[in-house]
Amino acid sequence: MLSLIFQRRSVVGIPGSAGGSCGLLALGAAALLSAGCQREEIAAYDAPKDAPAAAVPAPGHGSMAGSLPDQMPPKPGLRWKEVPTGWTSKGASGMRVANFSVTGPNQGQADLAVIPLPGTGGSDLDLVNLWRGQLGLAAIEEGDLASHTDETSVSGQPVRLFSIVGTGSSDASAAGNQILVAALRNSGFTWFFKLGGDAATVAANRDALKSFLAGVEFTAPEASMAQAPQAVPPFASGGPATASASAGPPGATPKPKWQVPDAWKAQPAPNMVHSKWTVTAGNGASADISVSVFPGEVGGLVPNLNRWRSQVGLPPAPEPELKALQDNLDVLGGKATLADFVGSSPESGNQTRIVGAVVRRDGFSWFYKILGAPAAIEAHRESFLQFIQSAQYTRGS
Amino acid sequence: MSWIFKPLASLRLTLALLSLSLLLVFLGTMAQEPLGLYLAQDRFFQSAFVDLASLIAALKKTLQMIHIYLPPSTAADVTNAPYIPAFPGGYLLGSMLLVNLLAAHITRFQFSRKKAGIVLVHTGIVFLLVGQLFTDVLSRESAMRLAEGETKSYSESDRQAELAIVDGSPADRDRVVAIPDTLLSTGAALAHPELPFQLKIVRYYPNSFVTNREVVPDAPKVTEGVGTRFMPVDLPKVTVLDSRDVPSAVVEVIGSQGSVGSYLVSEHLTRPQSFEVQGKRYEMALRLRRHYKDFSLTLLDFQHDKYKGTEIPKNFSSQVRLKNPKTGEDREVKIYMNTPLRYQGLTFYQASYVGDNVTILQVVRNPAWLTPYLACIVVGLGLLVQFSIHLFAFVRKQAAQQLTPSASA
Repeated sequence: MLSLIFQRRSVVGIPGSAGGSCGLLALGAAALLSAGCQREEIAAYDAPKDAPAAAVPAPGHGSMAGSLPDQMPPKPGLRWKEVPTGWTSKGASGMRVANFSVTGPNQGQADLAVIPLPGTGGSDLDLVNLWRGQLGLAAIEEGDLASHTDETSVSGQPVRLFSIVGTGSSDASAAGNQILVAALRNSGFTWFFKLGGDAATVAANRDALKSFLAGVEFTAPEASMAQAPQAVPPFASGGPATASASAGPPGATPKPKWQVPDAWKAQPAPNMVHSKWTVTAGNGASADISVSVFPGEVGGLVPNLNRWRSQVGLPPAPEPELKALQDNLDVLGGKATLADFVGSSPESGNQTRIVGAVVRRDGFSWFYKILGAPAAIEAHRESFLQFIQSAQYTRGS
Repeated sequence: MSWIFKPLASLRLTLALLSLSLLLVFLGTMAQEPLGLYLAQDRFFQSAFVDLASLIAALKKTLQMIHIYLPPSTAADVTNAPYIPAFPGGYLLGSMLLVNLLAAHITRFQFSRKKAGIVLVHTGIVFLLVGQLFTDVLSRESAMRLAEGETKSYSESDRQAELAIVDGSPADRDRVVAIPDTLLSTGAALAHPELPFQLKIVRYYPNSFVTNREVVPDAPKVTEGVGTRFMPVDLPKVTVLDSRDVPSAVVEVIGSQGSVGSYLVSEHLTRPQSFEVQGKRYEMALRLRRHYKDFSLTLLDFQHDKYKGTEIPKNFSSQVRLKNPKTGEDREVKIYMNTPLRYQGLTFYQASYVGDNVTILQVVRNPAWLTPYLACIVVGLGLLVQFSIHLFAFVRKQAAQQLTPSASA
């Protein structure tokens, strides 16, 4: 059969018909090439709704959050052996999966932020010049990089620790600052461990940073972590090692079932927030209610309560005082920790109150928070507590 | 017509083209180190001419082999250099080889049974050349990342992004308007009949790093969402194999009543930004470009074995459930190394994994995937036929020579 086909094909030897074939071929090739070079256009199409992932909105309250999944590859979890002396965990916030405030000599302050970003973005030199720019310093060349670099290791993998000192900066405010950054490429993400702040504090904590980095471990990614930030529990916390190790079957982030009061107005949930509502009181006072869920203990109870205190302009409270609050609220299936702080908004200076509860279930931490004008919170405190107490958590992806 | 075909059919041209092709492959390979795979591929093989800057980059790398060290070129040097054609590229050489072969047939070739094998060999080569052109233009690679228990009906491009505007108001589906990243540039104004608003790209960052807003000088204004706290900064575009650009943009939504707000969208962000226009809520995200299918895959189980005592993968496999609501198909398939799933013109290869329960399937659409196989069969067949013709002729001749003396005797 093949030979028959190719016998027929052999007519390419006859000039007339071969010219035709050649022309057709050229035409086809030209059409193909022009198809390949076409300017791309905006497309409109119907797509199935994405399967609910970690942070699905509860049915019925109309939030749009979570209707699109994450597009990034799942990133591994992170944990560490011990927190150096003088470091205080501030939990996760925004894009940071871990935050520490670091104190140094003469009350100097610095911060360590752990930020995973997808892809590897730029070269080491690009990143160093980026941070140099932030301190008002001129860019350096590849050949100069070695003099700003120290070797260390993260999770057993050698990494370069870059040092950017603000001395000589054109920006006076940056002159006394220093940044130490380690960048590790792991599982499609670049993990930045960035210690920045007062130069003396950063220098004094250089070894502490190295020993902290050496004790960092990456764990298997949370299966349905599409929108859930990573757990950052220390080994020493006594809590679950990681969410993925302890939260049951993969992909089984708990789904809440709850009764949302009619007076609560659903709002789109921002990044890292599971669900959000606003409430108002008769005098126009308003407050925001939000629920966040994170795998693991997310730095522990005390740093998280202090984080809430900072949101109403209060300084950190002594640890025993906050620990005394533990398990002071009955909820369905167990206990939770409720805190109530009144202060003033760091932005507006207006009197502000925060009532928050931390519920731990199946290796996840649920943070319920109402933040706003005291009058609005007083009006809705009871329904807020009932809401927390009635929540049920079932597993499913 | 012979004055056209004769020079085109020249055997010298064939040799020159083949020599240039060899040189192109060599230089393109050398250029991969300084330029990265994708830029080298684009500049050497997927273009009619290699530009001067790329050629210099390849030559500098080649000189290193004989211990002559010149400052190496970078990808940025090449992308910023003016385009000066300096060497024939893959498209030109491939097309010229094809033309040369066809012209040779037209001018010289007279079909006879004795040359059937040669016709077959040449036909196979034509198949190969045309097939590669089809593959280059029509094939598309993407990836499907699935966690155990997760279902997806789309794959994502590794290196292309889209600005997706999603209207989630229909109960059973989303209405998506997807703007390819090639249309995104600082200052661009974008509109679509299905959108009751315009989008103005206030600033586009083809590759970016996101940091705290307060440390970014001259950050464009963002009125809503996460961009009020975070801001991207530009990074040079990357072209190496194990890295990719992560774009970000500041986008202003302009309705009929004026600006609705400006937002930061970025592949760095895990959630879309949402806004309301004419009482309808939309979500906007800059994400990897999606390719939807008529069917879905659910990852049931992912297994990976390592060589004992090492982290070296030995074997990995994905047990998936394939569901096609249009055909009613619902079956389980195991995808593992060298055993892909072929379905609806797509091939799903077991490509990679993350941790213990996330698989990454490479999804390849290549309508011309059979052409190299066919071409090889045809060339092989041609060689066999030609060899057989010669063999039989030789045997006949030998037999005739043996017969002749005995006959004369």
